[in-house]
Amino acid sequence: MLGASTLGACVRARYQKSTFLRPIASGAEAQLEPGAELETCLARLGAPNYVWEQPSGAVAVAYAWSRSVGWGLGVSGTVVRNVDASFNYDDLSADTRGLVLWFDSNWRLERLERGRIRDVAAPLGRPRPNLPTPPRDAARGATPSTPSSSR
Amino acid sequence: MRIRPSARLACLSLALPLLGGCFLSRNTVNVPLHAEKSASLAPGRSTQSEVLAALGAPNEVVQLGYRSAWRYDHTVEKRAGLSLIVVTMINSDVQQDRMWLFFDEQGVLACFGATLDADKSVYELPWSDSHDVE
Repeated sequence: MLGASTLGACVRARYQKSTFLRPIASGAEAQLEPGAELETCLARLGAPNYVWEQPSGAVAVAYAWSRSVGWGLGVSGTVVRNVDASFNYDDLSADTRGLVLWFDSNWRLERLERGRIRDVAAPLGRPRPNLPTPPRDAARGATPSTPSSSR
Repeated sequence: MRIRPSARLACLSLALPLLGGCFLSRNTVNVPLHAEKSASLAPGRSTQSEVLAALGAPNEVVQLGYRSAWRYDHTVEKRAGLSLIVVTMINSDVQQDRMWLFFDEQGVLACFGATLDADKSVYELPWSDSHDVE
């Protein structure tokens, strides 16, 4: 009994399962044709996890989910091998799968791809902080070299 | 045979680590999103000011050229665990309420998507498989 107690205090095995969100149902994207509006896609698939700005007013959105299952072994409270259950908006783990949709500048669907989100969305990266852009009208009005003023 | 109380206490103390234990825990981030609030949003009419009044400050703002997108979310994580002698089994289930709102150049709501799944987070042990996960 003493041996088992000591063993239990020093060595522990850990079995952990972590689920992050539900996957988009297989085939859901088959109903979305290129040219579909962003509004239609959001209505079909719900709210995405990520939105990324793309060049020329285009946009990409991504749906993400993950599940990890595994054994770990801990010695004196220190886990020496374990599954990584962490997830946050700044870190896409290797296990995170997803569906990425690319829209053009009119927010119409160009293409979509399912897979490991880190691979599929690798070129997109994290959204960069943009400096606020003045509205087109304000920018035009602030320009000193308008045709009327240049005369 | 009569066992002395001190010996009985010592045996119980040694046996304690052999007994199983279990736990439940729940973590939440932000406040829940409600379907009624998203129903009050009208694409083509609702302005950013009206959205702010209805939903409060967003958790993230993404600038999309002259346009923008706002994210609201509420996350629930439910964890259940069972510990037996030298084995511990833990299950964690994270689900979210999530809303993304897309605004046009004038700051008027163009469209939005809502997913309200936070209340679908469950306590279960690792061998249960109630989720259909790819």
